[in-house]
Amino acid sequence: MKRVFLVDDSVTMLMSLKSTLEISGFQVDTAPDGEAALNKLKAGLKPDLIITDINMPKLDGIGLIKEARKLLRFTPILALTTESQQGKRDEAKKNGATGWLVKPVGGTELVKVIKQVLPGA
Amino acid sequence: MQTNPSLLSGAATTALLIVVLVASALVARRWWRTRTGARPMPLDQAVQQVREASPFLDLMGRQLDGALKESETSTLLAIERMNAVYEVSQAQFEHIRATEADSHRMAAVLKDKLMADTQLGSILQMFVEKQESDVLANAERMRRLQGVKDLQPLVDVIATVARQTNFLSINAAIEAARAGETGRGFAVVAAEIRQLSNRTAEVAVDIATKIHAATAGIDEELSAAGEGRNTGASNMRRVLIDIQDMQQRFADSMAQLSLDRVVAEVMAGHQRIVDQLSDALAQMQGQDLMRQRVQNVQQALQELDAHYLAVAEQMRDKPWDPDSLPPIQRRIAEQEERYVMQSQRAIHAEATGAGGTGAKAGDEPRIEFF
Repeated sequence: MKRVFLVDDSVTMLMSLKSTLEISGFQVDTAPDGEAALNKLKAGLKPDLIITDINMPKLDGIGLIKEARKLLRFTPILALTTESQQGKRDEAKKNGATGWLVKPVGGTELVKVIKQVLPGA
Repeated sequence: MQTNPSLLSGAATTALLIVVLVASALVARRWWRTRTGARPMPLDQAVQQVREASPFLDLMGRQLDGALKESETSTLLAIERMNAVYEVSQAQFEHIRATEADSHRMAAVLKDKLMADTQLGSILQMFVEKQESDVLANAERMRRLQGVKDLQPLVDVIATVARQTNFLSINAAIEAARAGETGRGFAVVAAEIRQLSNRTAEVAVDIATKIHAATAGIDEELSAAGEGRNTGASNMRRVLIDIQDMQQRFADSMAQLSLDRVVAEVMAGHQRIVDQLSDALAQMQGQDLMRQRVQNVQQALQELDAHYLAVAEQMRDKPWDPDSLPPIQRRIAEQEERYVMQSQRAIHAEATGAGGTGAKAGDEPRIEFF
């Protein structure tokens, strides 16, 4: 079972995406902001995929991508955000993001995207 | 899920209302002064009015907070319900899968039973055939024993010889008596011959009786064996036919017990439910979009409040310092920079009449791999 790490400061986002992915057969971990997520990664969490929001308190998504990439060199990281500025996309890409998804993303569409970045999931 | 338009429009309307109120007050004062020459609102009163608007703005902000909390609670409840629906569907699916496993086990048992019955049928068939063959062989042997009847004419010959010997012995006895003393020895021989013929006749009768009894017994046995062969064989055959029927019924049952197709259909249905629930759950992201938009409006209201409080302050308590008061256009521009959604920018562009960022930013793909 593939392990997905969801990071978002919205509890409804976390809950809805967690349920969406769990019923599709994924194991899901969550964190409410970039800092908490980074702490979990530093504590040894080894997800197969990270899906992070961009605009978050404490440590934003771009910062998390940058730090997470130092710890997990090959783990795919997707940004899932309402942010639509091209500048932010470019920054995420520069820091090691694998892809960019604009909210809202349908459940089946999200699972399809995950299967693209996680072959065999 | 679509963002709640009434909530958004409520927040926007509140902001707009305050702007319109203040602007209207200023315009009305000027109009009143020019038309009637009446005394304008005293400065203190105007400052008081502006300051009193501040709690109203705070109230609106809190109302928006309440609305956000309510929508968040509702969304979480909806997610909970959908998870419950999924769990029910999953439990049903597991139950059907367990039934499928049971049916496979039952089919395996039936298959074993069918195989055992087939073997039993074959053994029984062999047994019936062997028994029929033995019965036929026995009957043949008995039929051969009926040859004893052929001895009957021989017995008749013996009886005839005995009878004639008896007649001869009688005649010899008569002749011996007629011969007198000289014939006495011959008379003894004649008596012995007569006695012998009598015993021979008795033995012949005894043999005839025994031959009759034996042939009658053989006939009886043959008849009984024939009947037994017929009823026994038919009973055995009937058992064989029953076993074959039972095998056929087992085979039919096994075909009917093949639940794979049903389970495959249930599995497909379950997957459709999962897909639907998955999409429905993802729609809950709309609450997050609404939250961000409302928080954006709340921030704008707070800025507006701060702006008018600063204006009020400079109207009475502090000297006018235009540099410390950023023009409202700049605040509007800053507000635009805080937008994260394309739809926010589009509304902004439409409301302010600006073409720029709102129009061009929508072309980026919603899903992009780097």
